[in-house]
Amino acid sequence: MNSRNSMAANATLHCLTGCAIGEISGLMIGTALGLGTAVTIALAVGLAFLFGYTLSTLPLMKAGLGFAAALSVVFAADTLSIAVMEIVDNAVMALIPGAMDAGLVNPVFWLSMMIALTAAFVAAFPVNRRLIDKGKGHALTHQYLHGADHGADHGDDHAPTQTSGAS
Amino acid sequence: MNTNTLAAALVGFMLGGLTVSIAAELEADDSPRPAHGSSSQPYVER
Repeated sequence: MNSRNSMAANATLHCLTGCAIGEISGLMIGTALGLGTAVTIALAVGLAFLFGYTLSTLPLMKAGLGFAAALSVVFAADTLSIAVMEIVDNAVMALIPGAMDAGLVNPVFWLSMMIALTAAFVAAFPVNRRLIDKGKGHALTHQYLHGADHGADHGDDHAPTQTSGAS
Repeated sequence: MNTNTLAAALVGFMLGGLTVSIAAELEADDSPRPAHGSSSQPYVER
């Protein structure tokens, strides 16, 4: 895997982790409380964005950025990636028969969740790859994290980012 | 926290949920069977 693909895979996994925490929490709360499909999806999407942004903001603040500055970088870097993940993830969950109505003790819920998150990763990877090629997306956060404690969170195999346009 | 650690924890959590849900399904399949000879039909000797 070349270094940009590796960087895109890391960025996608990073986004997916935050999304998955929010998505799983939202769907668990929704199904446990017996909420309707639309409300459950809205809750899951909201929590996915919240956790996705949080997971990206914290390392930037650790690297020395203020909260507002970190948040604005994260908004620019992660919004498209998280949005693609959420659309694909919820579409797959809605398309699998019985997935949205399955309770937490129903294997259909967990299998659907795994399939949906895998599909979300596959869909978001090319988006992140393209954003990195353009010097956007995870490349933006990389600029701030480079030189800070970056290796622990993102691996050490990142290529220098290109910030001047498409390759 | 390391992203890989978080991702591994999530995968573990989902596999755990799947395992528990399969176990619950299997238990539900096993429990409410009438025992032999406890049919609701009365036994009629001819």
